[in-house]
Amino acid sequence: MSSNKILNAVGILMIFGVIILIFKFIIKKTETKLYSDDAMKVLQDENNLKKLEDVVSDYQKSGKWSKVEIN
Amino acid sequence: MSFTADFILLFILVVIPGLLFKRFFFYGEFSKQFTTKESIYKSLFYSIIPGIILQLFAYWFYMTIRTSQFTNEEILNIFKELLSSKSEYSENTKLFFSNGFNYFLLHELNVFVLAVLSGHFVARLIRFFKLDIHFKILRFQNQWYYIFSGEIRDFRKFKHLKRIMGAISEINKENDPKSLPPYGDILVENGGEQVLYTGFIVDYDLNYENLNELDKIYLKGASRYRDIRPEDVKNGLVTNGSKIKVPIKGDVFILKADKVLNINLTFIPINNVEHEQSLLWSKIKRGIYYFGIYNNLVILICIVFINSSWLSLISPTFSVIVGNANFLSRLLLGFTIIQILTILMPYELTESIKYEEQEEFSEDSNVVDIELLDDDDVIDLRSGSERKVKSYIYSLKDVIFKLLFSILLIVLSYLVFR
Repeated sequence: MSSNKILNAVGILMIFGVIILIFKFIIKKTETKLYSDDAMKVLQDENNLKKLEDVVSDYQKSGKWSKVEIN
Repeated sequence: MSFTADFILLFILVVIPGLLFKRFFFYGEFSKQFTTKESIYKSLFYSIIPGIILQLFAYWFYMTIRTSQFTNEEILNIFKELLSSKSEYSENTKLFFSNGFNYFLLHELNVFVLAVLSGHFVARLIRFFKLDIHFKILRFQNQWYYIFSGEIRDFRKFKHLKRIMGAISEINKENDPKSLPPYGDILVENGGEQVLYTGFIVDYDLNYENLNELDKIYLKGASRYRDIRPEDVKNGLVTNGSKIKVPIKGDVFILKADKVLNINLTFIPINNVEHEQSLLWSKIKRGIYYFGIYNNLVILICIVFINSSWLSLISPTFSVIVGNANFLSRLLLGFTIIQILTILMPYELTESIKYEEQEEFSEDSNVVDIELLDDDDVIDLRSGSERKVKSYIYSLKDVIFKLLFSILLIVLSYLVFR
């Protein structure tokens, strides 16, 4: 009887856990920021900014994207 | 201004839940759509619709899980009496106030909580499943969010633009873990002169009076173009025609948007090369996918067409239930079981590769698995040749879809077989 109660409690906790995980995932995926946190870190670096500006400039001139590595 | 009892009752029952729903429905970049500047009639009207739906749903739910001492007819009569100008109330109404009023308050509290939660999650589910992009009726008013996030490219009317921009520009999705803000060239009227500013649009403000208008634009890494001066070459600045691009020192440049003439946006594509998965895992997923399809087919045939006596080996009760069911009920049960099992299966993604574009395709996607080739597969690498590549993917979004559909089928099956 007591083992049944424990199993029920574990089951309910698991259901709550899964629901919370799904909600957290949905909330994270539906943020309305224009950029991610990683992207903001990238833009804080002057070198990355320069590289990205050059890539955009090349694209606007040639119509083709050139590849650049950013960290 | 005087408030009558019926107005207060209507306000508590319908308008407050509707307002709470709206307050939590418009979140993040769309939160300005909930405003107190709307006319009271408009605000009330748009609150009444969700308010009525929430109230009815909560009432139905309450009556389903609890046995009330009042019937629906009695409750309706009590409300009729409260809304009328009568000063004498019937016995039932008096009983309601002495015995049932606490339950009514508790029910109202539940309705308010339901309004908050449903507003919060309905908006997010609309965003999660991109329903606002596919259906105009569900779209939020803040059109600038859709423009600056690049989601406008997924609107139906921009499909042709999408083709022109090409698939590579679509990689920079909002939900990409490394998505960058758009790069903007913004032409501004400044004292009769036109000035071009450029930079990454990291934020924006909407005009409080009119949500369709921009108020401010925030640029990171901003520059402006001006005419070349003789000392520019000496200072080592890069010239381009008659203009020169001058970086604006500072962290964020704020541009008043009322003088903006036009904006040119560029969305930088991102290649995420961090999530390469092993070939073995890809093969396992392919195995699970094909085994699942075979398994589902067998289950469907067994439940729908073959005599159910074999089911007694699994469960005698289940065998009796299936044995007594007609063809359509068996079909529904078969689909329900298949749908539940499908939750464990990856989904198949087929992509088309044109080899003239191979250079750009090679590492451009963060969703496509490592390509699986059988030993006897021969790849035609001639320019212009096209080939279909299949990959097998697990995603939480897909699982949620399958889970919701499974629940729906389980409910239907329960209703049919109970």
